Amino acid sequence: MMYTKIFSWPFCSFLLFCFLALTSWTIVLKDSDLLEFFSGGSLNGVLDNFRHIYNSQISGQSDPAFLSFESWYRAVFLSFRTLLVSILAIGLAGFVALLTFASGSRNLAMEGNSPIRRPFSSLIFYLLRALYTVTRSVPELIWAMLIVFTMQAGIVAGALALAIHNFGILGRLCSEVVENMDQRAIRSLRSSGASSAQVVLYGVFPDVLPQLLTYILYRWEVVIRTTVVVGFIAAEGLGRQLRLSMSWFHYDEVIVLLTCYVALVIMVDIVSGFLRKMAA
Amino acid sequence: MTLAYRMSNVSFELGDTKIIQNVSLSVDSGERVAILGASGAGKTTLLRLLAAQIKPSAGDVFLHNENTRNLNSGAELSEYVGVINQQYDLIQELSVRNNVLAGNLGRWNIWRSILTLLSSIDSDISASALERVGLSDKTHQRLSRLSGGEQQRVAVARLIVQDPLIIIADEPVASLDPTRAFEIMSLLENITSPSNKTLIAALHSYDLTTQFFERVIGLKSGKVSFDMRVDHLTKVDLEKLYSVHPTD
Amino acid sequence: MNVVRKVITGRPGVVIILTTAFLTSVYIADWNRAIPRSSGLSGIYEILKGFSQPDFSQEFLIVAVQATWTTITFGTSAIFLALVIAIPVSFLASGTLFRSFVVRITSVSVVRMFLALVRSIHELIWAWILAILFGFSPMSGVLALAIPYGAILARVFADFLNDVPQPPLRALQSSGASNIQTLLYGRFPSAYKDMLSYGFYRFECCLRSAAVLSFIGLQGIGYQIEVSMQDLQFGQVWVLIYFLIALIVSVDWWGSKLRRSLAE
Repeated sequence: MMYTKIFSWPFCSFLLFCFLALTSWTIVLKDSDLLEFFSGGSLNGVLDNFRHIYNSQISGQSDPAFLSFESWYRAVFLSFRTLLVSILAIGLAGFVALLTFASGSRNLAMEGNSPIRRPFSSLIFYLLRALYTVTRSVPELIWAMLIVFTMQAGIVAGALALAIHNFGILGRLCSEVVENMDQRAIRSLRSSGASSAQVVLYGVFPDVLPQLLTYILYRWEVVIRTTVVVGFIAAEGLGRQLRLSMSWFHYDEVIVLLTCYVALVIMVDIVSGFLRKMAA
Repeated sequence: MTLAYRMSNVSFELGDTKIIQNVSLSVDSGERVAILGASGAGKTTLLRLLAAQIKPSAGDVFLHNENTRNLNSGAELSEYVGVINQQYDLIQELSVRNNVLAGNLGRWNIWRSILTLLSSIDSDISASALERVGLSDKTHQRLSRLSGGEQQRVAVARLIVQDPLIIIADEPVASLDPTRAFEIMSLLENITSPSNKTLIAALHSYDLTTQFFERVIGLKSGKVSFDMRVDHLTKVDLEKLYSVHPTD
Repeated sequence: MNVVRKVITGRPGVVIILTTAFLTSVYIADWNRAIPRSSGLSGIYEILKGFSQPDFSQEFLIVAVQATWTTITFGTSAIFLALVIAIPVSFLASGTLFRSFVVRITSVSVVRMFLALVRSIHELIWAWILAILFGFSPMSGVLALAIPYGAILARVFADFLNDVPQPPLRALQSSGASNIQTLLYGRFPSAYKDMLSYGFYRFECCLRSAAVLSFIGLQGIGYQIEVSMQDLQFGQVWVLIYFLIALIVSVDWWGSKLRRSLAE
């Protein structure tokens, strides 16, 4: 009795996690030069840069980027491109997830309710689940590296990298919704003579669609944040420009771009929240 | 004899509906009062007014000569009033012991309460309270593992630790079978009569009312319909109280 | 007329809006650039060849295990720090500590707004900002993950703390508990399971984010993938991807096991 109590899953997990956290922190602290960290590394360089920008403005040489209309205009245009990438990405991911989730749910695939006949349905079920796991486990950035290696950088490349990762997440979430559904509804539809396609259409789809919509909108909020980072590699939108401004030490431009980025993210959060309320 | 309660012309409104209308009554300290009435008659609201959880819209409630308007919930109030409801007022994920010791929160400062949560100090307090309600063997169980009747005993044990002057019970046995209900009512009597505590309870059962209480108040549409000694209570009174159409 | 309004403002409306937005973006996107690089076809060939010949040599397995361990260290220290930050901040963001209505509303809105701002910046942008300010040390990487993850956890934990059933809390207050005591004895015990399983889900995400800290030049799986790709060693890239998948799948498995045992 006491034995099972002490060595319960939660308790063991807690111990293992604490052990990992302590070891990790020891390593991180050992590997970081804390003295340098707290003395502010290149902080002074950044400040110097701003002093320089300020001086050149005082002497009338040039305006810092955040005072020029043109740089704001360009940043807004880039934000629009970034928004485009995010919509394309989440749309592709949602669309493909929608096509596959029925064959990727255990209960539909294994009980012969999948649109595909057995035994192919079981085979495809395992393949899809493996695909969901692989695409989900590898972060967008690594997908982006692989894609850019073979394809021209741009909107489509960036969107593809984001879409692949999110397809895995959405596909798995939707399959789980189907697996957690009330199985009796599906069986009774089946016994009333519905074909497997009809079961999916009438019994499963109406339940999954609202959930899928919410998940798509939630993921969109995540995707818009990540699009910028993928843009660093896929050379697109705000991300590309951020990288350029950074490597030229134009911190005034960086501030403009970051402001647009934050505004874009907050706007997407608001729109997504509004649409989620509408779909509820 | 001191007065536990005195209320004069007390009303309570929620929006346009008058839930309690011009109720005046007084309760002696140490009295055991049952409040009967159909659901929607305003029993819970009356009890919450007595427990000073809500303040009257008109009139005043005096609790041991203190106006409840001046009593804010918290440590001071908890010395006067302890509340027990029909289940669902314990923390399911906390151990039985900590649920019982929560009765002491009004007396403890923040550090003391954290210490009790993390260590096993004060176990003697919870142990003696749990012994009185017959749950000594369940001290370290998580509350959610207990049955409904056992959980209600834990709530009584918490009241023992809290040790207030007045105990307000809102249908404390509503979801229990008759045997368990009898046990809980006996426990409540046990912790109130010997120490001359006041017990005010809303009930639905004639039998429990006559067995455990000395005074009974009938509530109908927010008004006192009768207020008498239990031995005078007849089935006719009850029928009138629970009838949908007024017979008079 | 009413039917039309219902269709437009309800779920069908959302579907229409999302589909339109998607189709528009498909239309605008520069598909003419969506072509393989000049070296692209041979690139695909290289990737596939690597898939068929993964590099399971002993020397490289050691490299891969080391990279995985580095990623685990970054991810774990970050999520630990995030939890340490998130729990007290979630108390503030839930507004349950204050009795006065005005103070509560102000603290809730200020803290939540701050959390939204912190959250809106992606962890790798944080990494980059911190790296510029404090240098490219592991500490910058850990902080970069811990800051946004802490903000997300704090927001969600605050929601959990707000959503616990109210009657037990009222009972605690009636036995004299102050707000902070109600939090410790009532809200926190009632919500900790949800907090734990959400925290664990975020642990998985955090490990994935830690894998790409190569973004600011830190070691780990992502860094090794970059190195192997530059050497065109796709057999090594695949092995690293397998390690990453194995890591994520096992943490996922651990989490689901934990959730199930908590639900009992």
